[in-house]
Amino acid sequence: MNTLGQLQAEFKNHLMRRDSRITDAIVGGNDVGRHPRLAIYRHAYYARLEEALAQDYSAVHSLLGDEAFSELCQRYADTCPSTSASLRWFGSQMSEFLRAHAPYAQHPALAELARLEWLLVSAFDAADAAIATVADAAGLASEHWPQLRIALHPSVHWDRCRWNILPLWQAASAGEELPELQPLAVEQHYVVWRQDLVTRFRSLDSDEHALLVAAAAGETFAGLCEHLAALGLPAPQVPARAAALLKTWLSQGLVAQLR
Amino acid sequence: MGGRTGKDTAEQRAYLGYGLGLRRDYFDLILQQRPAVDWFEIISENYMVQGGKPLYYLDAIREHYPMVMHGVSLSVGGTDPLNFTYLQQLRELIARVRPQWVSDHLCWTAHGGHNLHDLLPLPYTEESVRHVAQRVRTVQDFLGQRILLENVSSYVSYRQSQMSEWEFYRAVVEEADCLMLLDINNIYVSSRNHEFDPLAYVNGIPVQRVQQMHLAGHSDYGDYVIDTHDHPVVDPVWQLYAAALARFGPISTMIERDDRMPPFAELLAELQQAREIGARVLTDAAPAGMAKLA
Repeated sequence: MNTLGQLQAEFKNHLMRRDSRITDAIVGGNDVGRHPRLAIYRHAYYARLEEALAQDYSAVHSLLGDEAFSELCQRYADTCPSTSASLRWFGSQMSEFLRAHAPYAQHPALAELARLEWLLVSAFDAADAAIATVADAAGLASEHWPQLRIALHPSVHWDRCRWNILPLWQAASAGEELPELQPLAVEQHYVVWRQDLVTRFRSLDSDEHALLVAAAAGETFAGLCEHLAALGLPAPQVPARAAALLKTWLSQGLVAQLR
Repeated sequence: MGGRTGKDTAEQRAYLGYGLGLRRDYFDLILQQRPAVDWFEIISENYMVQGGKPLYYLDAIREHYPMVMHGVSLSVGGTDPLNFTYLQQLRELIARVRPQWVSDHLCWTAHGGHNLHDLLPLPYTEESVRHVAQRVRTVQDFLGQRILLENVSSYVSYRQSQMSEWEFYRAVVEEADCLMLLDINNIYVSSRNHEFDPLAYVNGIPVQRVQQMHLAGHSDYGDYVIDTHDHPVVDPVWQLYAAALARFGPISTMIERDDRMPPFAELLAELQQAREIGARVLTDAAPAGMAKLA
């Protein structure tokens, strides 16, 4: 007789690898070819995982279509089985999976799109934090500005893409016809965050991206201005550009704290 | 909170009335309309996140309704070590929600570090009873409170089982000194799949252990039935519910709906059906514990 642990190992191996040893332990299990009962569990295993991935990766789903998405989910589940108590984390390796496995790796836009969608998932339930406002900045004494540091909201993430995945995601989200996949002339940075409980993303100019990265690393406002100058912005325009970017971040809820 | 013993019966049987599962499809409606639902049950794992909408709505709705917490990942029947990272998250969520009670399932959900995200059946053996009961006691000690264990639907039986499901269920909760969340639909589904008398199941359940009941719909394929929570409750389940109320007396009851979500009014109408059965049965019935069914 199986111990409890052996029985569960065999049951799991049936769900994940179609191993048939568990059938000896099941009443009527030898009839499994005709017997739908074990198949209920195997079907439910994949269906539940696919449902979770469909929720997180709706644009990848739209791009691939039902059949190919289903196949992707099965392959992903077999390669990256869930190790978390919550399905919330199951899809966390999708972008890396797509980048590493044929035939998906031949279409790098897929991994880029999955990365965007995972950042949206991450922003959706990232930690809460108070939001600093334009009024908070206006209230700062001028001598504080050079040493001012900008703490970004915990939901703020950024990445870059080389394909037109941003309009593609928007079309998929709106249920519209998807634009044809096109490589971009220059790579595009974007930021994802949550404002008033709603997840958002937008593209970033290259100087804004550089400043966001520097701000997240703890750079002071004076240091951010030096970054802008180093990027080639004429000195007289630097303070105004830095102030304008900060104002945008503040008004869009990207900043948790000025300190 | 103290140990597992010494709580009086009245506290164990705190009665909340008629509730629903809290699902995000209805978050805004619940806050705006404050529907006449006595309480909500949350799926604990859905709120083990850091912030954003899930916790916003959880806190806002909790201000207006009593809540209980229902987990799906305890794997109390599993043979992997208990997941104390998960249990710590559960304890933190309990501190946030202050639920009336906390439940999970009499099943296993993970093995070898893999979470299978399904409520998988246990063999009904003495070995399983001892194993599960010991783990339940550890969980209760960690959480500082008794938990409720729910019976699951099942589609296969193990050759090595030595007793009926209800004998197993009873043995576990008595050895662990925990409480029961009796899922009436799951009893019905399993009775169809394994060809037993659902009333024999209900009559095999110790009256004083039942703290909550679940009702739900299922998918009927003729030869077998699958617990899908995507249909209204069917008549045989309502009848079994009436029989259970007659045996157990007033028990906090809720309807689980997880797929093909209907307009909220339909769930309220279904809940009203439960209330009417409760009103009828509990008015007519002998006092709790004096089952008419035996």
